[in-house]
Amino acid sequence: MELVNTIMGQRQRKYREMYRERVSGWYNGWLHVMIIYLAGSSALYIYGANTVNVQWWEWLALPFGFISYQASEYILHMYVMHRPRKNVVLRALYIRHTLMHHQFFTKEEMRFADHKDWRVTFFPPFTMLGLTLLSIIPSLAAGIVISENVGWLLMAALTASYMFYELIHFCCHIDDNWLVRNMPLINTARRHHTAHHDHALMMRVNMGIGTALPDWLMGTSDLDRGFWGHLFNGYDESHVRPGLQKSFNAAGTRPVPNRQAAERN
Amino acid sequence: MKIYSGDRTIDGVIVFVNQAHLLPDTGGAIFSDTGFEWGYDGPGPRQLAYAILIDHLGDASRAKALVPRFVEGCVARLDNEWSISSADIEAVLNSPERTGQRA
Ligand SMILES: [Zn+2]
Ligand SMILES: [Zn+2]
Repeated sequence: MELVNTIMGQRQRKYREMYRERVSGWYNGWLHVMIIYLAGSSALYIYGANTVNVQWWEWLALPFGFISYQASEYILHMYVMHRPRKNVVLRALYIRHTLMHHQFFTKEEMRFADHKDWRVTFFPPFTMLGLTLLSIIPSLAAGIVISENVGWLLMAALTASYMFYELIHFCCHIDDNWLVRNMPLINTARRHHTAHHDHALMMRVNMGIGTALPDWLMGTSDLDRGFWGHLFNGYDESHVRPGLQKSFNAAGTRPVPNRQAAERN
Repeated sequence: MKIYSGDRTIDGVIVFVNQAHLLPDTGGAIFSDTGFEWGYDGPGPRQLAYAILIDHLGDASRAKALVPRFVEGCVARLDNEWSISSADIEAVLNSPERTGQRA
């Protein structure tokens, strides 16, 4: 099954056909999502049930966990998913993302055709288990050094942040509608991530998916805006930095030689 | 005049010089042992720049010296699928030095 009303080019169309043929077999997107969110909700319930008489300052573990997750997601995306590594697991992440996800979805056509295409976007179901195991290390340390509540809340923040990430990324690849167009954070993420799917920019620009803030902080955003502008930009294209797309492509486009030097003179 | 081209496929990145494969270990894998990449500055792009320059110049030590300049002027700015000619390479190598870009 393929989208009917689409402006995707032949290359992307062929890639999507081949991907579906090669990575075929039984798959149900609804089941995939159900596993992620059922496992996540159950884990959140367990973490919540273990907290007792939470003090006001212990709640700070939630924003701390969320910010740590955003930073880790940015680092993983920029330095693993877009950079080939020797390590088999890290290389698999690069292949799955740069050589699959980014070829399947381009800025011209960002949408799934149906639920079977969701596998190109959601991490495999076992990711939740891996994330939980990874979260245990800092959470256990926080639980011992600070307080048990902080440990449980940190686990909860990291799990919820992963669920948030999957939701936002999913929303970036669905058809436009009133809700996603007007929902703060989601509309910003959709424009930000679509720009990241521009093939001329994808290796260096807009690596934050859950939020655009890591890109604002690290200077890797396609926007020339501040903190609030990055948080609530929505679909606005008027702040996009000029000259970013200049690249050598297969159609004969060439960057203007030494544009910056020319501007200085 | 040679044409160099590259693409990212489901089976990996591929680079051609005219119709023949340009191998990632051309001149030895001195910048990266994980193959070619492009679109940014890093080990993979430097390895690609080195391989293209060795093929273009036929001189490994000159190629190695020109890698940073060629990465900044060309390899870091290659699209997902790209093709460049020998003339493009010469134009990049002969252009005044660039100042760095942030993103
Ligand atoms: Zn995406
Ligand atoms: Zn990406």
